[in-house]
Amino acid sequence: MKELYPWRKAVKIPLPPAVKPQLIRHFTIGLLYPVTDELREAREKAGLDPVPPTAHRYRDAVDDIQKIVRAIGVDRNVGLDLDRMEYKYK
Amino acid sequence: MADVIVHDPALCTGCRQCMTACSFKKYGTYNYNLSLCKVLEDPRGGFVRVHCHHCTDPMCKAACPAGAVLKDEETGVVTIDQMLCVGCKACTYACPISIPQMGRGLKIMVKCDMCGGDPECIKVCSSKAIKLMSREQADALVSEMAARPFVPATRPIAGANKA
Amino acid sequence: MTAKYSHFLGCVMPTKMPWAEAAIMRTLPKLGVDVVYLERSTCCPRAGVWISVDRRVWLTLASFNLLQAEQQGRDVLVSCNGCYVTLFEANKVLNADPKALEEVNKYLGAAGLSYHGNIRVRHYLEVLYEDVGIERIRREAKKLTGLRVAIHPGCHMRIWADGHILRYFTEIIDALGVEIVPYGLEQMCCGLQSNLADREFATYERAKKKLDAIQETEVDGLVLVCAGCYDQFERAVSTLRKKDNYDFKVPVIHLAELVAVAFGMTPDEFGMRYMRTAPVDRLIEKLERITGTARLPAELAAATENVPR
Repeated sequence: MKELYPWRKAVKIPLPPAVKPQLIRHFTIGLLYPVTDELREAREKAGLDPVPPTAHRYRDAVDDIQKIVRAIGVDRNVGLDLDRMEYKYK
Repeated sequence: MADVIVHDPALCTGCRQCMTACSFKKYGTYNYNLSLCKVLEDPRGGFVRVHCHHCTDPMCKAACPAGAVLKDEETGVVTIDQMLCVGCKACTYACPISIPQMGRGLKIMVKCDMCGGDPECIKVCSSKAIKLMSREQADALVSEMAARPFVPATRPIAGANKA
Repeated sequence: MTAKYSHFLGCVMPTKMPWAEAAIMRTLPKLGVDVVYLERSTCCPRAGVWISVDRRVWLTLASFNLLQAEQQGRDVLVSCNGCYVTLFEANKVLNADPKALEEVNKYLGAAGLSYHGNIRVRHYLEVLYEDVGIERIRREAKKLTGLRVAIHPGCHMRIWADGHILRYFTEIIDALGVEIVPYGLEQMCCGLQSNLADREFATYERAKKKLDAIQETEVDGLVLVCAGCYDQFERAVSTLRKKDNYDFKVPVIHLAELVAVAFGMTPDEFGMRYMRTAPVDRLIEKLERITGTARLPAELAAATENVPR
């Protein structure tokens, strides 16, 4: 569109830039931080299961979250494409 | 008369959540420079919050050459009319605590308008350092705060360390 | 009837503080608290962000976490102050406002779920102080006399006007016989919230000021209960180490670790040595000396052999 209408202003998402990557992580893995190899090792040494019993282990919880977010329609409001996990507008 | 915001420095932790909430409400982003309230460090220790007091007889209104500053007699809220403001900054210089600031976008002054009676900053304050109360209650609380000896908010927590 | 709890982990605790998670999950059953994991949990989500963006999302996603506990027939135990505020406030709103509950259930219905709001949300400190009982902790805990710590309570611990959680925090540390060293900036925020607006400000004006003041007091550790604050301190310490070569030598520890040691666990039982912001060897040595579980040097060398960093 930029080439056709260079005078048009880009669409601005009503979301602070610092929050955008957090939302993507929230909606893809359910939580803010992923499970790394270092963490698996440390968790085993602490006598815990290497993968915590959160959405990290239960992928269906993430699917539920995505269904709920779609039902509220907030993904449309903030311009987030949940299938490709990227923002439609810069 | 409607309510005013009162800040209790003894409870404030300086997390600035009110500032992010304010700038998000007004501009849709997190930016301390755009926030209409400010939490600053008290040189004596602790934090002070600078926000509009919606004065009974506002200096900004008296100073405005364009008649853009309006005080709603019913709610007591002081606002700036966007269509009348010429951006001369007279209100900033007249205000004892320089509340009105140059807004982003239009070159006009902006200030706290109490979010239409339901301030966003009150909702997010976890330590309950900012409260919404009537002017009479606020007067009583502020004079009580002024009477108590100055204890910086950075004091050791009471009962923590008896030794 | 004794209360049964599901422990809500949150984002930071399972991924950055496995030692705290292990300490909580192993100590509480010893103290007679029935606790299991709150399974399928997601981000709480952050109230500070979502209340301003879209309040419905905050209420719905919070109730998604709450209803996992409701299905287990248990109350929620939260150890992070931030998650506590989010879940507690959401639960309060859903209990008081039937319309909000109805709306939330409409959205939860998209995933075939519903929430009824019949549970309580309680803080780890409330459970320790009220359910286990401060008297019992005073009576039965092995006193960790000689340990000197700085404390960081955190902003969200102050949501109660009477400040009872704040009081519990210091009283429990007192009950363990640990000396609290004042450093002047206890009340200051760690700067987690400021990260969203200004990372420099959060690191230098908030976290570094606290770290500087704590470093000066030469304490054995910085005790906190909030996983969010830990996240911020960890990030600030690693940023400062990379950028300014600033070395923060005081280990950041969770209150649950002290409770675990005071109730007879050894630091290695909950993996205290791994994934730390600062080396904890000196602290562990001191703890072992106090509790009288110090081991022979050869054994110690074997245990510390595989420590990363």
